[in-house]
Amino acid sequence: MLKGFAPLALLAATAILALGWVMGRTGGLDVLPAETYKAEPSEFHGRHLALLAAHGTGQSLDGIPVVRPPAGSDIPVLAKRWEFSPALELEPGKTYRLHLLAEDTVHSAAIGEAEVLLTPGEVRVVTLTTPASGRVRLQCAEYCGLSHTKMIGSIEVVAGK
Amino acid sequence: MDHSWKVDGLSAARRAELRGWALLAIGSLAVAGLLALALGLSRTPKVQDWLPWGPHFFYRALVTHVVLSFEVWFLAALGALSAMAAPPCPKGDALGRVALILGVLGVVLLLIPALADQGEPSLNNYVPVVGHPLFYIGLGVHAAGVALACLRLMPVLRSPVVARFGIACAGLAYLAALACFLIAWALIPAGTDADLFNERVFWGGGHVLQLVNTMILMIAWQALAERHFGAGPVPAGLGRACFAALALFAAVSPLIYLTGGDVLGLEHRQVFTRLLWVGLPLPPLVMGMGLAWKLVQGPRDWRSPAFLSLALSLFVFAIGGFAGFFLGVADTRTPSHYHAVIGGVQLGLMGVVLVNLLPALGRSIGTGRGVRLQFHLYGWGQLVHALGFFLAGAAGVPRKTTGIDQGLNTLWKKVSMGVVGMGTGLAVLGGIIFVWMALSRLLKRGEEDGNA
Repeated sequence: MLKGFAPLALLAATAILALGWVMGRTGGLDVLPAETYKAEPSEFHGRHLALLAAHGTGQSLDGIPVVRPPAGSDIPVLAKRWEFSPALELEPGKTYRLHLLAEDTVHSAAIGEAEVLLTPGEVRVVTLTTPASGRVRLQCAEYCGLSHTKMIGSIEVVAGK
Repeated sequence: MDHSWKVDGLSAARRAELRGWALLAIGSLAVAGLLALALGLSRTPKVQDWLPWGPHFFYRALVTHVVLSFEVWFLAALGALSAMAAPPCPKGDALGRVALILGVLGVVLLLIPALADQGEPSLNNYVPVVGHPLFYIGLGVHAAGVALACLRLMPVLRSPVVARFGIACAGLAYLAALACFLIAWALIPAGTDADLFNERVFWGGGHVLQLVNTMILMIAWQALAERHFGAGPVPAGLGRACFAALALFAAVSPLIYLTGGDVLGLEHRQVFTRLLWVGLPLPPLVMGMGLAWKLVQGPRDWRSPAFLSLALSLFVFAIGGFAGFFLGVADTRTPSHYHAVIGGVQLGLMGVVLVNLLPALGRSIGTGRGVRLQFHLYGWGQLVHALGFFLAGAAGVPRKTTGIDQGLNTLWKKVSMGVVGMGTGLAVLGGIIFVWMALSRLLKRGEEDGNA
């Protein structure tokens, strides 16, 4: 009895799971909610430079300039092989809007446990609320070349000075 | 009713083909080992200055090493299994000969760019490539050869013999993986960045190939358990259902290109990742639990290669599978997981080569110390290697990096990576013994008649 039931149960469970998988009903998609708008690279570069000029700390991290923008601000972040610029120092428990643009090829921004794909020419806007302390993970999770695994951004939570 | 697999009585043509696939599979492992040695030398201070190749050689050699030791080894092994399981007929033999020629030709072609230091290497997931036309043509020709060998297996899908049915299911899953590669290739727009193209063209099919690898391990469990215990890990009907379940998931996977969004999109990537969560674990879990029960019941003969292969492959594969639920994003916990699960498959396949394949060619392996040693060294070595990677990854060491990029700035990270190196050394020793033992027997001439 059990001998005949077990294979049927396994196949039935598999058929249900396979149908759910093909129909996209098995969950597990970790996509960051993001707004999208088109942008010219030169115009975005201008905003990026303006941010560095206005809120740069004068320091750099592995050659990437560090900025400390005010809470609630919009922050242009450039993604290119194999860096995110600028490095961010943010206040704890505050909300920011990251405007992410891929400059050279498709990258992604894995922030915390979810991810958004970055396509050249399209800015993705992600709302980020910082934790009380520590670092927020920012990393490219779409293969983009030999040094892809080193494409890690810096978001550090620093109490107001 | 007896549903066990008997591979004696193969025709001369089939034995010649089987020997060819086995030589291709194990020869590829040997070349991959030599490339690993070259990789080590190209990272050794002073020595690297004397080597006649450029700075990208490291990555080209790494790509070719992975393709030979991961893709070609397993796929040529699938070709060998197909030669043992396909129905005996002259047309099947002719198809097998053409398949083998294509399989070998493809490997020769893809080796040329690496050895000639040509083409841009790409470390994309599953099937890393060297960006050179000969490499892609070689991959395609090899894949087509294995596909021809698998086409012969379709009538075997009606077989009541569990191992033969499993081999046919693996062949079907391989054809589904190939369909995914081709569909992705057709869908990706011209002019797509080379890195993105490589990643996405091999993404879906690469996931489906993991179902094939899992089935190869389950075929090994079935064949070796029949040899050692006189019966498979689970009742025949349940065994066939385990294989059918994996084949079902593989067969529907090309549909994802219709329902899973843009082939270059994020949803498409994550849907295929999901396949390994919802489609892969249940069948090997069922069969693995049955095998564990059989191993507990005994007889436990630690001198038997079949028993060693069963016990160690189950243990290493289970540890690797468990680690898969605790992965980070881009740290060394990922290679910890896949080195252990692939190590488990490797241990099972080593058992099949020594216990089933070589005797089918009339070549005996015995139960000497060397036979036992290779399983212990490879199995425990892979486990230590994976443990080190897991501990290092948990401490934040990034994957696919070397030297200063690893950021080994704490004692914990340094000790963990030291453990990785120790495990690697043990596993490599086990691999060398296996390759030496199998190749030396395969290269002996005149034993295909089964009288040796």
